[in-house]
Amino acid sequence: MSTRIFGSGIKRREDPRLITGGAKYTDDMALPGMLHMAMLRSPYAHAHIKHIDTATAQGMEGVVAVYTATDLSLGAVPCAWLVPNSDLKTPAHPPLAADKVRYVGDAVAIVIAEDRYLAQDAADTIHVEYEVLGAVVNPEEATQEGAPQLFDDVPNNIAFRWIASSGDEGVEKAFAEADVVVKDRIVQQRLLPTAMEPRAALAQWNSGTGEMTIWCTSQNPHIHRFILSGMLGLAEHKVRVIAPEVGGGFGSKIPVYADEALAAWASMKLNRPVKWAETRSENYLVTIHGRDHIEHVEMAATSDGTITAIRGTVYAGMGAYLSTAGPGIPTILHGLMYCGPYTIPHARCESIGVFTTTTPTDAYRGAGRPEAVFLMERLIDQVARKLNMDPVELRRKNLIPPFEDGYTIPLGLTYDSGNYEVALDKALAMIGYADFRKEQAEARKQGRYLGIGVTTYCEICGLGPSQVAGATGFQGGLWESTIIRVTPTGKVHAMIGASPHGQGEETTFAQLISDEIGIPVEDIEILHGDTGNTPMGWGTYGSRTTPVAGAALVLATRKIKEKARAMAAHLLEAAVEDIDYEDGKFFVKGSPDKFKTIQEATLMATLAWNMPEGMDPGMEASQFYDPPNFVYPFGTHIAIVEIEADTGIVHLKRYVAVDDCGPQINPVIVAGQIHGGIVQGVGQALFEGVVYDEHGQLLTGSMMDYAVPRAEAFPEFELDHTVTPSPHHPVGLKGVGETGTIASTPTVYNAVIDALQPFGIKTMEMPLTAARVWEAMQRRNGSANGSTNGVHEGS
Amino acid sequence: MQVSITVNGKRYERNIDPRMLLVHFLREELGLTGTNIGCDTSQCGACTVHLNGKGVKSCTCLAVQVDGMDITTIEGLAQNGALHPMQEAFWELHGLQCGYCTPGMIMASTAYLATNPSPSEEEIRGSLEGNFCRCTGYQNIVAAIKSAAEKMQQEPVGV
Amino acid sequence: MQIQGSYTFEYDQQAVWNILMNPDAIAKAIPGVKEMVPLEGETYAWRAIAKIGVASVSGTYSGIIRMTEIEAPDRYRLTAEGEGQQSVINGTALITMQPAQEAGKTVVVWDAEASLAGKLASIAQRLIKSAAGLLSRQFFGGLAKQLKAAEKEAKTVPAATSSHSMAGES
Repeated sequence: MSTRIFGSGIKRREDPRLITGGAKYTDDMALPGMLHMAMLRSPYAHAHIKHIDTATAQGMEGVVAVYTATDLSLGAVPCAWLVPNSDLKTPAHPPLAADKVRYVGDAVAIVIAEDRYLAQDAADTIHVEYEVLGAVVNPEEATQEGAPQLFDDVPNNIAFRWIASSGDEGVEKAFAEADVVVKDRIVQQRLLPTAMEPRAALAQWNSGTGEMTIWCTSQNPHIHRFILSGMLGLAEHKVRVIAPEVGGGFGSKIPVYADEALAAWASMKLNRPVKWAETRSENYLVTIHGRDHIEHVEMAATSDGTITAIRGTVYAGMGAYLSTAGPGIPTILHGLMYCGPYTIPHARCESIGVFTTTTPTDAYRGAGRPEAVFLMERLIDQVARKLNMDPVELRRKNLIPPFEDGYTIPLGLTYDSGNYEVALDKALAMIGYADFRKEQAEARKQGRYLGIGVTTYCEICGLGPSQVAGATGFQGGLWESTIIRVTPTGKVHAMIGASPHGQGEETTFAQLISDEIGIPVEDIEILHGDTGNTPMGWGTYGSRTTPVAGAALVLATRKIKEKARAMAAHLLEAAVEDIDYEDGKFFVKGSPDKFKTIQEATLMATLAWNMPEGMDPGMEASQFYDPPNFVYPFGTHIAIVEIEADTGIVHLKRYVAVDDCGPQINPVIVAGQIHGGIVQGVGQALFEGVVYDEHGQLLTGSMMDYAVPRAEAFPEFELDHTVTPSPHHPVGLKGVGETGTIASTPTVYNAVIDALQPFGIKTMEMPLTAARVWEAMQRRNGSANGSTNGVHEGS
Repeated sequence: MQVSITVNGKRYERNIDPRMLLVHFLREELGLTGTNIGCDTSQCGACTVHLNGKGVKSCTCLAVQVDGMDITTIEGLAQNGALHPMQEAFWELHGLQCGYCTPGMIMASTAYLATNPSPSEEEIRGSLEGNFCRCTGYQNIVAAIKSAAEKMQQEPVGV
Repeated sequence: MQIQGSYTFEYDQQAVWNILMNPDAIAKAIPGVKEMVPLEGETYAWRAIAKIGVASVSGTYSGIIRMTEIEAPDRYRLTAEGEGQQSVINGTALITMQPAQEAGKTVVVWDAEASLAGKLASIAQRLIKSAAGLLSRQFFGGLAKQLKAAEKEAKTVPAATSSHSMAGES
């Protein structure tokens, strides 16, 4: 028997076009007669618009049109996650600001011109008279009396107030009776998703057919069609959205933005194709940001190290408007995860969504869960410190025991499967935990500051059951569908509604199909991204493509297999029950030499010369799949850092990750997802952070000032895994796209704090830049008594 | 302004706006869209090409500045239908995910190997200072460059 | 953003005052100014167009420059409001002059407050302070050069010139 294709680290099938320059991203497209759109954006964070003078721009050669809000006939940009029971306010988000701008970058006018330089030049000549209003960038401050108000009908800028609780009484009691309580104020700083490809859109209106085609950088073209058709006032079947090659998303290409709608509207208005492509600085200014929480959190425990309760109040910055999924991130995807992989009996999260005069926030890799895991792991380390317990032992003591089919936590979720301690032990063995503690003690004597951070996490992904989507206010379903079509010669077109953009499903999904029916991978094409030739699906985010679309794909393939089996039985003149299958061949039980291949069965079913009674011709199957539950991958990450005493530079010396996403279709691709995730999470811990000044001006507006992690900051990661299948997935798969990011931020953060124990430093704001670490060391050093155990002494 | 620029072995004469960036010349005048644009401040390296054999970020120079010079883009790297060892290595070792930074990574690393044919892992990481990747965490990019370097030591190829 | 600085001219206070009140001289000395046209109905206000490059943001800005709180020959306030490149620049500087300790020299001190909005803030804010220092030195250095040139001319052309137009003719 040949090596099983499932589980094989084959080379990616999408790569040849990507390594030769043959891939076509949105901005690579050009159409005859194409015009270019540039945006005029507000330089102020908060201002009334008094007057807009577009005369100069209108008169410039090569400028075709200039539009402001009064010219538009375009619906508002909707929010699509209307979290219930939270008194959610959804003030309108106009595509172009009419009377008020609410963040630097809010669009005020668009210019359409013959080339992109001209369009930009013309936009720069538009004069807008503003009456500048006060700005507020801190979500907690924005709720206080006297803060500038973004919307007349949203008092104190509070967009929503949402609570998840295992029972307030129990929580209160646990805290009252606790032997130890630790508290922290955590700032989850804003991050810039920074997909390497900025956003872009190209719209082509066909006035003859009344059809609109929009190529755009989307993680979910079917959602884009759904929402854009509404904004444009076009019937959905007349709108085709194509996400061609997409250069990364990390959440930032989930939302529907005004920009693509404006390009489409202008194309209709002018009856010519219109393209818009943002620059990186525009991307940093207007494409959604992630995180932005100010959290007041606390944990209660008994003196033996049993965690009895956790609670937190979160001020979540929503930015100036509610982005597509914005309200769902600090609530459903955050608060419900407050128990983590631990047997914590009482938990409560109060999340307050707040409007601020800043770029809207939305899902950024991990979306809500990195914040939850971070606060959990921070608090556990602090409890351990207070109890003088080893933080690993504290974790071990509180981990949920192994379970294979369901474990319900006090906040109501039912985790699918978990075996947390095994992953923990594996990671500890890899890093050599016991030996490290000795090495650390030795190093400290020499004035070297080594630290270790351990995170045991689990997370919720594979979004998710549509019933839950509905119950939590998500304005869509969360199922996926697929159509598998086998051509007469036995080649496969598998059309999926999800829309991968770097994750490699053109390879892994071909492996899934091949594994089920034996058609070689090279004969299988996965089609995605085009609403014109794919069935409905809700997109690629929340580590859901493999768990959800992958399940649909497997089930559809099994339908093909059963039809082929029936066809083979007919051709072999045997009963279907007597037909066995192996490696693409159907044969009568016990006579493997007498067989029909899947290709032969397909050809005969397609020719339909001699069909079994009641069977339709062709070899095609369609499958919808609505998952019965989420999936809950888990694992343990451990980092060792060394801090340079003279500079405060944090050197990441080792990084071990043991993750469990169930069986792995392609371990090389899984590892790639984890590598990238780790770097993004470490980016938050050590390097990245959005800075606004008090006027709401974005100071980290380019890659000169926003520290995207570079290769030299990282060691070679050491990966391993355990395999705990999801009980409800047809082949046991869980998602793995976000685990690296979710786990790595607290892992590295805790390692740094551990290294700084001699200085008594308990907490610092991220990112832990050299300057910040050095300052903290000096401060503590000075306040200790200023003479002994100097930072500089041993280095 | 009239320029004559050789790209991937073919000479192109064009009359262009003096302020046109080389990257826009390649993408919009010649339709060579393999070279991507990832930033507007010359940090990300997605637009790296070879200029007279050396790696340059094509967003940092004007097309008129390279008049008379030789450019190689990602489209011109494979020779006679055979992938360059660096392209092979990126494919073999999963050195890319979304692929957007990849052309720049491949062009930058091939140019780098011309100056340092057998770099250590640390040197490779250092050489990527001007090339950002948001997907891979760099690990497999570093491995790919190392593997390509080893292969090229055994069977040298022209860049 | 607060920016302070000083510059010592090798001329007496009246000469320095004169040139600092002379729009043509100022227009010549401000780095990048292409045009400075008096605003109708105002004596000390001009519409200016300047080409400035900071970091990767380079482009043309237009705005109003005004002198207020004039107390000859000691001080005045210079305000500038400009926009361009999807950015807004606002600045106000109190410029004071006094004789230096060394005879015949004059110290000009400025105390400025500037705010940036838009693209310039997001890309170049971090560089503005050092850029402002450089531009200020260029500005006052340019004025000093003009004084020197005028002095040379005055020596070769002995015709009497009114102090007000001296720099303007240079």
